[in-house]
Amino acid sequence: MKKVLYIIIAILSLSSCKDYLNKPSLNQFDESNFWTSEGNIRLFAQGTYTAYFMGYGSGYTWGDYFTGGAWADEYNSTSLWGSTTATSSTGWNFSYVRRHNLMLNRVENSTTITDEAKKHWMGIARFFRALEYSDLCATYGNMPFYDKELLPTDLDEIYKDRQPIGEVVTKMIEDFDYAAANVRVTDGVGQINKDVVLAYMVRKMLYFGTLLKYHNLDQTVATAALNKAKWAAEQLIAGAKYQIVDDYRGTFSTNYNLSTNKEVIFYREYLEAKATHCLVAYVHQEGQTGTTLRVINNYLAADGLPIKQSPLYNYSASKYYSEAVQGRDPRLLASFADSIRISGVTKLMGYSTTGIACRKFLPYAADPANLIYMGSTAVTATPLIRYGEVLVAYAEVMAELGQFTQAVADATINKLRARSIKNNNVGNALPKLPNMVVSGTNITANGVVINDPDRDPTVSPILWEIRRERLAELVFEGFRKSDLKRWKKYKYLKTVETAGPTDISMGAPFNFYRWGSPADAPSSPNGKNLIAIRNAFKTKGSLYVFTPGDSTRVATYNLFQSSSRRDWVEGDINYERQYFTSVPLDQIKLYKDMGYTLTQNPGWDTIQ
Amino acid sequence: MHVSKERDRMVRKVLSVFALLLITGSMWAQNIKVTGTVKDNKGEAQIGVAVVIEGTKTGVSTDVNGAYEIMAPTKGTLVFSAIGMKKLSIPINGRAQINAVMELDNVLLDELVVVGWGTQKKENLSGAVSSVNVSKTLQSRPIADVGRALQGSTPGLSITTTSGALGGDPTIRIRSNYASMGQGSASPVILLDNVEVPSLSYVNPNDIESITTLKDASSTAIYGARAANGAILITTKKGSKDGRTTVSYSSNFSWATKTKVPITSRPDLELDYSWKQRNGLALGLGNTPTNEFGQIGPVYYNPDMIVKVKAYYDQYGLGEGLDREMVEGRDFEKRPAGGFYFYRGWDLENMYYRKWAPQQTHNISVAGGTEKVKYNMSAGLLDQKGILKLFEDKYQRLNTSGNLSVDVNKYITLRSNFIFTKLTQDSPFSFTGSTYEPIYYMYRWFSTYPEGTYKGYETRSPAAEMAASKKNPSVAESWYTRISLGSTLNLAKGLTANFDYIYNLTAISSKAAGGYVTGINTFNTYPAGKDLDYWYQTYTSSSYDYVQMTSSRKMRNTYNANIQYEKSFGKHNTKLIVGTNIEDEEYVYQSSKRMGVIDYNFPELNLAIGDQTVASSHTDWSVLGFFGRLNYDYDNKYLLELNFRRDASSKFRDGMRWGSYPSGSAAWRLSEESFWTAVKPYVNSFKVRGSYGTIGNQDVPSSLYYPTIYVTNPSTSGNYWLRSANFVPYTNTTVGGTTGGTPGLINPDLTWESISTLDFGIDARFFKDKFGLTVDWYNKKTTNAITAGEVIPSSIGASAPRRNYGEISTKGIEIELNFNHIFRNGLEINLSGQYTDYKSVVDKYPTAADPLYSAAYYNGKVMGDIWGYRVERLFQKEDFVYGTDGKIQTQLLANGKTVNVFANLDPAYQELYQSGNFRFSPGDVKFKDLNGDGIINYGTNTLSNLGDRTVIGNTQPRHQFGFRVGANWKGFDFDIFFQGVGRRNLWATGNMILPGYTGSESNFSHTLDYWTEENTDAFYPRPLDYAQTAQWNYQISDRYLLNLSYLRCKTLNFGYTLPQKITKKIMIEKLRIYFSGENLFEWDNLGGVAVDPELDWTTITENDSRSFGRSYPYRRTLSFGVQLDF
Repeated sequence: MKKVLYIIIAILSLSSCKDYLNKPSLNQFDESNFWTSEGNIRLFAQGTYTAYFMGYGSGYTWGDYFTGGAWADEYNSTSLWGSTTATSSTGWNFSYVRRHNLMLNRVENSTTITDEAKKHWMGIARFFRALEYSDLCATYGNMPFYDKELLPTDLDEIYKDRQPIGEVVTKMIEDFDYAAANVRVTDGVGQINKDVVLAYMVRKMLYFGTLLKYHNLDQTVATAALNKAKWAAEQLIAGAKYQIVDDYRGTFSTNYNLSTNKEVIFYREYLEAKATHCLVAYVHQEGQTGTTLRVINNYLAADGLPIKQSPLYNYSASKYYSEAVQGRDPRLLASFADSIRISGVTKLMGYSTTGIACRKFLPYAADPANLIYMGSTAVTATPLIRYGEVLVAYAEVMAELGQFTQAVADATINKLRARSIKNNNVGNALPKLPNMVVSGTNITANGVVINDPDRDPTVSPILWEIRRERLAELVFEGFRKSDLKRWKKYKYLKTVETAGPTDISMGAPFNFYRWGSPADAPSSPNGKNLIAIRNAFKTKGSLYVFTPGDSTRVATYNLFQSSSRRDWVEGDINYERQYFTSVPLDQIKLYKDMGYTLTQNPGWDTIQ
Repeated sequence: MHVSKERDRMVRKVLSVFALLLITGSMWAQNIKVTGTVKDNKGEAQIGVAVVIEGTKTGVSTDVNGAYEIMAPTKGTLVFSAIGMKKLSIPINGRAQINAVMELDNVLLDELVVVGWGTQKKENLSGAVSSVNVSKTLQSRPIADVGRALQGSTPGLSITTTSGALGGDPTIRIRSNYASMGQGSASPVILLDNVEVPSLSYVNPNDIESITTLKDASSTAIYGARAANGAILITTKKGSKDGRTTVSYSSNFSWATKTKVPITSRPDLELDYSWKQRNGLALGLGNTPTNEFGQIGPVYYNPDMIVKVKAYYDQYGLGEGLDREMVEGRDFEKRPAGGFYFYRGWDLENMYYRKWAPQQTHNISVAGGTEKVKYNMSAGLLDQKGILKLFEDKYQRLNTSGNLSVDVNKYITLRSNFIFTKLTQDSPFSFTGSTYEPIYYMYRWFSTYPEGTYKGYETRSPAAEMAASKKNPSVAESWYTRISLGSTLNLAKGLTANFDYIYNLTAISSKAAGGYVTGINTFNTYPAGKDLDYWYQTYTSSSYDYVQMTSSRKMRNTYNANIQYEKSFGKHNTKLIVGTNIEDEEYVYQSSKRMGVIDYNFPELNLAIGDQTVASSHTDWSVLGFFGRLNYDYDNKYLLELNFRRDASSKFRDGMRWGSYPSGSAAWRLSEESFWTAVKPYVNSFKVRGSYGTIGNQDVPSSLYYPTIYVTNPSTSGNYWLRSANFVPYTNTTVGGTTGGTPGLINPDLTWESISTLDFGIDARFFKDKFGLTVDWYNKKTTNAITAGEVIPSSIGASAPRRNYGEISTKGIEIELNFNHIFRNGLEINLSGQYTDYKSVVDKYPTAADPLYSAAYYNGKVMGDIWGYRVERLFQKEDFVYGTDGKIQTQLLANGKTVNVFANLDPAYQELYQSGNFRFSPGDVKFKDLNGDGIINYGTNTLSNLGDRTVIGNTQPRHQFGFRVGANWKGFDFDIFFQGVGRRNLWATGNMILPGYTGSESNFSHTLDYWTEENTDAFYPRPLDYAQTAQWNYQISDRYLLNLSYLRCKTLNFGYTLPQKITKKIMIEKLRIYFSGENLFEWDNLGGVAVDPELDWTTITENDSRSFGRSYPYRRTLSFGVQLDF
């Protein structure tokens, strides 16, 4: 009996032991003992990379390349102006703001790392914060700015109304400045370094400088931002570490990594069975949503003149697609297929809804027998930011600041035009464009003053040509919609004029009765195929006929006659509101319930 | 419920001995010798029946042949009595021989029910406790596990599965699916001999002696901590002391076929429907249709070709009589521009499913003992084959268990037992990623998609992939081991102490090896003129070239100790138990994967050469608790039970760890009162009872109370930043992929969730126990539920810290009925039924002032409610206005949308759901304008303004029921059991439910009733391709909502027990042979939609909105078996 009692007492005393119930986490870091080494901080920072440097995406998730051109003229979209008021908070998300503020605070308070490391990682955190706010402000305009981790009890902070975008851009400039001054010049392969900070500074400051300027949001900050972009670009140019490479298409279609590409400042790396994407398959064998005739028409003729002005091009000759792409800015053939690609015409490359197929991202060696070019298994590295973009942005910045001189043109656009590009990387180089020459308020090519009949009269001739160069250089890199937004030029996206379709609602022009090579005789297999396609077109009625009754010159795509016509009425709030997204209604209501105010963007007051 | 027949027999014998002891021999002079035999109404001799002369203490008991001999007065009366039999009085009237036939007493009022840490007489129960008829529910059924067998057996117990997949545990819930709000689990604890068992699959149904379900807080309180959502108590069979050894053997052979699966429609109708779907928009706009479409790769179809498909079908059917080799010119033709026209339809069902999948079970057990030693040993084997034809998928279980108990002396009993179970499951390797299983692809393409061979090469299809994985099936194995050591000390009369230590080890491992599949890649496009074998290649991605092994082990120590004391003082009966329960668990998991297997005949990690990835997990927790229970009753009339439990859990920080949980129940047996006498002939037993109590729920994630940085290791094809081939952290040259997540806002003061149950019940028996009724009403309420914090704006950048705030309650009713009758000719029938219904409502949640209807929780939300539109009908031609050209007139709205003009409606009536080239036209759905504003919309999507949306259904199973009819006659037994759900709705997507959801994929026979100008009262709208979005006509609505209510014949059992007279001669105590069927037939309300009514989204189908219904079929089983006792 006594023994039993002892056993009971022993058990009861064991169970009162506090240690038995202390079970600290075994496979996650307890935050309180995490911020102790640079390795841990690096690990934390790594978790942010794919948020801003998504590149070609991963698996079947897209990045901004190629499809980033949707809703712009790069990529035909059948959607109407369809944005509706957001009722819940998708997109209105501050979790990265909090993450970067938390990192900044923890690094600053770490007692176990060197001062140099502390400054570097604080610089990284502030660089991330600037990138995050640039995304938020690009979407919503005005935003509340936070520079510290908030608690639910900080009511006046968390319920703060949106601040004017100019104030936020000023904070962004401070963050970029701090990062540029403190981030290491080198920090290992594939890691953010000072040059990466400078390059993104050029991209983002150009964006906000022009956005504030053209939307007239804050002219003082606009100028400050443009000057920051100028400064950052000049740092990179003066550093002389980067140069323009000849193989334009190769920069976008090299497998694995771009460590030896002198033009690339920062890239995303891929590897079989580890990190792969689907962009190659999309431009390869699958059908792609094609680009518009507008984009093709943007490229200069080889004589350096716009096609409607160029005697070499001879616009009135009504060219077919395969003719139209010859004798042009060589970047055209580096970015697009040299002949029409339509569903059913089986070629190595995929087909496109407009007949114009992008091949900028297609490796020269792409082959359906090789699995890395199919499905989501592509391993081509993404040039996240490259020197070519810095130069074309610098040219634009200087023009906006009224400082675009011949010297600037030579240091920027004429460097890009000096590339030696071959069609499909074989044979002789295509003819280069002549240098851009500044002549007062005009641009000349081979001594001829450029006078593009399509020029928007509100845009100066110099700026018009720089913007043309930007589209040619950066096509399908995910900029076009944001460019039109910052220039306040969404009206370019209307698919219809009174006279008929704009070139944004048309695809590749071709001869309805003869296209392809002479080998495509009606009796050949391909010829039979062409007849079948032709018949399909006839019944579909989706062709645009340039001259009524004459089917020898038609365009493959015709948004004008479909029900997806897209208009733009300047001054009409239902259209103008597309520039800034609606603030979610649930948030506005929550602020109101708590006695605070969260201001909505114009035009989104009602649910539509 | 019977604890067991063996036990009854034992108790009966012991009581007979008692009866004899009471006899004091007083002989009367005028006595005569009366002899006779006592039998039951089946003619079986009754052993140990007490035969007593009425009004005396004189009596004898019957011998093994049922015979007795007694000296009795000639005018006396003999009273025959035995436990489980109706008392019988026979006047002697001078006869020297009196044979008696005793009737079974239908209800054993002394029946013992297993409750927490002990047993209780059923009549004295005051809480909500149900027990399962083990012999009928578990024995002689071809079921693979106990979980599925329990479906419909117990009121308040809900067993659901999402598909018919082999293995795995069904979802088990007691009284509610929503005990917690997003954090905790709602699973009841399953206790096998008082210790938690991780899965019911580890328990051999044949080893089970009893199953009891504890439903209210008062009954489960004594288990504390993890029994907050109810408890299922299982006890295993033990040896007996009667000195006899019994050997039982049973086996069962069964064959399973699929239940209700969708049938692909006739090839030409399918293609034609798809062609119309994909041309739907063009035809709706009056445009010329596209003549030809591709499905995938080289597969094209057009109207001319569909005619040939029809001709092929008329000539060859689905290729019956042809071999699988495809012949150009007959089965397919080249398309001039490249690709092919395939004419041959394939009988996919026959290709992929076995007609009958076999299964066998064998069980053997030996039990016995002496005065001091009791033992029981058993072994069982289950071998279940899956229904896949091209890959032998299977599920196997091996069980052994042993049980030994020794009385060392009159004070000390020692006991020990072990359980060992091994489960093995083989399934095909998935070359399409974890998202899909073969059945997904089987139902994906048209039946004309090439599934045969060409020049002997397989085409790209799940068939080829299953064949490729035949050599290396993906194997999942688990081993469950339990060792327990214990002792009972009989300290004094009525005072015992029990000590037990139990070690549980659950080890789970898996191995999968992928590889390459080579075949004709019919996903690629074909240049003109190329033959079908042009793309004969290895088409699977190199990311499947790996071998992967995982293993985990879960180790749990359980220490139980308790002291029980039982004493009666006159009519006051008391029972007290106090004890402690301490548990800790550690879980370790690791997985290793290596790419580049050298030779798939030897897929091993060390025989692979590629990159390696590993992952692991490591967690632990501990709980400890003290408990006490006092039972008191006065004269078996007034019953009272008080419980107390104090628990601590490692899941909360020091200071917030402990919780105290009292509970109690009381009952009054009115039928024992004198005023009841008048009613007694009709209502012979009547009890009212009530209980209330609270239990703490700690079944929430660990580490909720401190901020953590979650580290993610790169996985194949993950979205991570690649730096180097090797992932070595902490140097600036090789960090890659591994990332740290943002720590969240936390609340260090989180503590237990409390679950309280208020229960009122009635137990009544009528007409001398022929008819029984139990009714329970309850309100189960969770308070302090760990929920999201207060509603805070997004600007804070994190979810508000969790807090103990939420309240959710479930109110329900449970009814149990039974009826027994034995006819004079020996026919015995029994009927039983059960019914359950409950509804869970959110009482308190951090709710926005006007919450979105779609929010997971808000105050007043009825859990499971589905919001949607009501559909009035389909639009017809006369609903629109036509122009002189015969076309529907259109109108351009201010927002840029062009709409068709209605005859009697605002042109913008359904404009909200118009997009792209789609315009509402004849054959489209007309939603009901519920708020009468002339426009269909969803208002602000918030509760105050939902526009035309309303509640159209609920996802939770309502009105669950089961009923059983059984009969015995002269050795024959028959039993049929039905189970059903009165209401369950589901909004599902995909072509099986919403035809045209993906226009280029399969169509099914049941979806052919679509609108055309000739078929205007069709069920489905005009053919359209919805591009994998539930848009346009497929807004969530009552018309296409699934009604998954059903009534199903779960089990039918028909057996024959050979007369003992015969079997005894060959030393066999009992020999029964039987036929049994599972899921034999059903009625449902799916209105022709050919899916099994028990189906739900599975973890696999949830990944893809197209795939509802494309999961493993349920089984219909026929079986034969034998049961032998020696």
